[in-house]
Amino acid sequence: MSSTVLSGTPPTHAAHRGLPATFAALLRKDLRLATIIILPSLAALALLSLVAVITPLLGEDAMRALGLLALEGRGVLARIGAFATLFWIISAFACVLSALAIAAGDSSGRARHLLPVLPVSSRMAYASKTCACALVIAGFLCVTGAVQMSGDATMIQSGSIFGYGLLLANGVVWAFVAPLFARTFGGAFVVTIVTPMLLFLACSVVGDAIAFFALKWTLISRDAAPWFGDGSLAESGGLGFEFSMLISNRAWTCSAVVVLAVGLWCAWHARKAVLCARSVRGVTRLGVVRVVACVFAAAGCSGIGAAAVVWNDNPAISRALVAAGTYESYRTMPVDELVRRWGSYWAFVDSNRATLFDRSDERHGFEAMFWPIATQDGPASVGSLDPEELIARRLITRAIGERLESDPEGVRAAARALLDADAPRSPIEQVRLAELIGPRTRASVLLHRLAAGPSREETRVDLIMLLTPCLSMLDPQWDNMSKWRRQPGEWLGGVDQHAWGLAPFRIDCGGGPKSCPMASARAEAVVFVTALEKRIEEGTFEPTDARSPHDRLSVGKAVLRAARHALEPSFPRLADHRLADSPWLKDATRAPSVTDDQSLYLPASLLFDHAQTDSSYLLPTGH
Amino acid sequence: MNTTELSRASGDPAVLRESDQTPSTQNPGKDAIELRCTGLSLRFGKVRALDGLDLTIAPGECVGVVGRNGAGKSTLFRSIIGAETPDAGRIETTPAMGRVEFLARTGFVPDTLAVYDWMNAGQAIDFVAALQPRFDPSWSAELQSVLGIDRSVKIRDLSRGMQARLAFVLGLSHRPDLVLLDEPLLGVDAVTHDAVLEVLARMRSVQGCTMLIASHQLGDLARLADRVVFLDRGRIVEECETDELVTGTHRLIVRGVAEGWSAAVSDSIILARRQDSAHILTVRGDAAPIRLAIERAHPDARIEQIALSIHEACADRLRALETTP
Amino acid sequence: MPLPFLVNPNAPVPIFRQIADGFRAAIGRGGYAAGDLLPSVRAIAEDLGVNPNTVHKAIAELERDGLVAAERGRGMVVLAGTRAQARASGDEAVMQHLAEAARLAAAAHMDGERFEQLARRAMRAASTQQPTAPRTGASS
Repeated sequence: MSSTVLSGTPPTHAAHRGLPATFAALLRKDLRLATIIILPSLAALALLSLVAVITPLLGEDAMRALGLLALEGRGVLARIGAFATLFWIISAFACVLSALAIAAGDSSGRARHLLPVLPVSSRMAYASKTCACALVIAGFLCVTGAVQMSGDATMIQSGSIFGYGLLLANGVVWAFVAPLFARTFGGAFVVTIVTPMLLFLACSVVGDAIAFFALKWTLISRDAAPWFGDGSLAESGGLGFEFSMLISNRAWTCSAVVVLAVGLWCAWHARKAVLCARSVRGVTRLGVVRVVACVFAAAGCSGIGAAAVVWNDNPAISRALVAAGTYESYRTMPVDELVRRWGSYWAFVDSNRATLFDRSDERHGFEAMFWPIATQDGPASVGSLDPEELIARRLITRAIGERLESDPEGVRAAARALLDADAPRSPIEQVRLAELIGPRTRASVLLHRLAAGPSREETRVDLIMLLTPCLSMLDPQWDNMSKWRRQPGEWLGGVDQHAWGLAPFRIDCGGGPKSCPMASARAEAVVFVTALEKRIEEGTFEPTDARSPHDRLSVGKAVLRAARHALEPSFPRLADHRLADSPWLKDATRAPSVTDDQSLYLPASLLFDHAQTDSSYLLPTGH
Repeated sequence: MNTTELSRASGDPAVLRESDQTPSTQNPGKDAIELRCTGLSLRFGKVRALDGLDLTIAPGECVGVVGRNGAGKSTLFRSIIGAETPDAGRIETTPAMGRVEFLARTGFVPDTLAVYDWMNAGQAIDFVAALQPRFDPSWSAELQSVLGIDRSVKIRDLSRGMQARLAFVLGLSHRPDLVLLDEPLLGVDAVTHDAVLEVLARMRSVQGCTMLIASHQLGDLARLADRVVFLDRGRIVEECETDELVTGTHRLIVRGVAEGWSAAVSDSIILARRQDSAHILTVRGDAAPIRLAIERAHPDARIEQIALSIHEACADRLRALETTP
Repeated sequence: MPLPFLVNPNAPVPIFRQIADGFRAAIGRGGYAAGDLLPSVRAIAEDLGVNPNTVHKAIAELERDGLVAAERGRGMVVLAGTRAQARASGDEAVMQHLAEAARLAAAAHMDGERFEQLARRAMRAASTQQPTAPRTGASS
């Protein structure tokens, strides 16, 4: 026994070893906690490297199976580098599990009552854990980075680096949260993996819904909602097309960042639990309330963040905002200017379309001209347009529509002024201006132009296509407002000729009217002109209507006759030149059955089956 | 034990003076700590582990804590040592000190050995030595020899008794002024038991440290504690000087009274039971007034009085707590 | 020297009294002669594994009973004096035997009254045998 004990004098305390030694002891202990993860991971990596090294010795099949065939002869390091992705994956697992071992190692093991009893400041103890974690992560990242460098020189995108870093950070941070919720190592593992995933899911789903509604209401408040997408945003309350527009990588990144922020906040509160100064408490009502509130707050932040990102990034939104501004200018514009813009828009469309025709070599002739016009009035009018043009069309259409309701006189006056002006206009522009005044004016304009004898075949095609919707004026149930909504050939094949009071007609084209849209279009134009002629002669067609006195059909018999003659010639230049050698063309007689392509070589009268068609529709052959 | 060395050194004046200066409650050691817990509360989900607990331990005093399993003893210790954070309440010491200094001057011996699995006994002791600024190597060596610690044995291979001994070494090697023992002698063998008692008695004699012991071994409390407190459902329900507990608790065996008779309710009656045809009353303090009252009311009754050991005195109190709502 | 008695914490007797009784018996038997030093409080506490305050209490009782006294610079000394010794020896010797008898009685489930009866009978028998034995008032 030492005499110090017996003497009873106060014992000499052991010399204080100093903070660095204390920290070193703690750091050693924390690193030792993680060795259970580090050693197997390093072993796995070593095994991978070994496989890469010895593969050439196993023959070509082995090399091919592992995807190393391309690297033959490039050296050991290159082969190891080919496994870089596996290295990254293993490293990620190793880092997160090591963080878990370090964070939960004290609180879930037998040493639970050792650490809090020792006179070390909590700051030092926690710092030791974070240092140990950082060392482990740095080690694994260095090794993996070296492997990546020695592999194929494929540059990793900064996006994947950011994503990997985010995933790793979340795993590590939530590992330091787990001791607050789990007593055992297994429980801590589950918490580390499951909690951030669930939170991420909640943030993504709820956050996206929040983002959607935030964007929607912001767009609505800026009056930009009708110009976003297909304009259905303002009416519907539901998620659909727009929803998928919003879920983007950026929104997911927002959620991941929010989950990380929540993790850091929770880790701050879990400090004591990590240092075994606080044990896991049971589930309390207050705790559940706090968790739910936290989840909603996180989802809210994520949603707002995603909304902000999408607001800046999504071109549809910026287009919609610009469109809102444009629309506002349209609304305040003087009516003359607006109508002029309306006209020039269609002139622009027309000029673009002509360019299209020059470029289109797969679609030949009439067909290339045909479809854009045919679809302009039809239901599928928007399908082929790009988003910019779609918005521009909707803007001007809606502006004009509103102006027609608020100031119909002014619109009509402006349109009349433009029509009467001397400037040359494309037929489409004229038609659209005329439409503002009324359908009769429209028909008048078209017929006058036809009668004037269009110089170019393309123009003649335009006029024919634009004429066919005027057939609705012959409908006994026409009420000035009904619009033409039929596909080419649909009317021709299905009309009740007797009910409409039309002389019988029937075209002779292989497959019927619906299969011969081009022939049908020409035939419909002929029928219209002929029938109109007849009704004006009989006096059964009202040139104007009491409800719309401004709308007048101002064509005379001469104009109609001239128009009918203008409809007659064939379209050899627009037709498929490969058919030009068909024998029956030389005879200018009919072949027994004609396809739609071949019909372009025929004059309009020969499109009809003479046996079943009234002669009023036909012109003698040779005109 | 030490008396042989003592007699050898009896001629040394320093030794003789020392006997007058052995710390006692009237004269606590100069480094002794006073511990005050006020209003400690802690809930685990629905369970109240601590419910407004108040406890004051005077410097140099040894307090024993008795309670049923689940009464909150371990939670109390963990709260004092800082392994648990109470929801409410304060823990103060005199002299006031920061957390780190408090831990440096406090020793904790838990009921299960708290140490890292990969270490052996020697590494565990060295680990604690590195982190305890007041670690006393000679005192630790003495503890290890008295308790018979084998430094090379792995923690996994330690028997129950060896674990308890190592827990003592780890918890007391730094000569703490406040010693907390949470069931330190659960299931240990007789040799360990005696060795530990000797160490604790030595620490109290030499240093006069303040102690708080929780134990089911009531005999140990009788030996070591100045005062015993009873812990029930998270609060202190009774406290008593140890000697008072023994001298002041008696059982009265009452025979010859009717079946349904029950003693008048009185503060002094801790517990009333029936066994065979007799009524057994456990009485606190002076039993004479109760005896007289019964004899007056029932002249035919036969009453016998038994003095109780600390074991029965505590057991009856615990039984009484069980039946209280 | 090791203490010539043990303490039993499970006895219905407080420990300080057991220590005091132990010393009383020892002094009575002559284990500690007049002028001998008692072991220090610390030594007693360590030997028995008890609270030093308890030892203080026990020694205070012995001091009160006049068996020991504190001597400056030395410790607690056993006082000289036949009276003290005799009292100690007297009380203690009887107590020792009585303790044994009491154990027998408890084993036979004898109640206190019967035991008193027997004790009185024994006293009567003893006093007739030893008329010169001083009556020390050691009645039960």
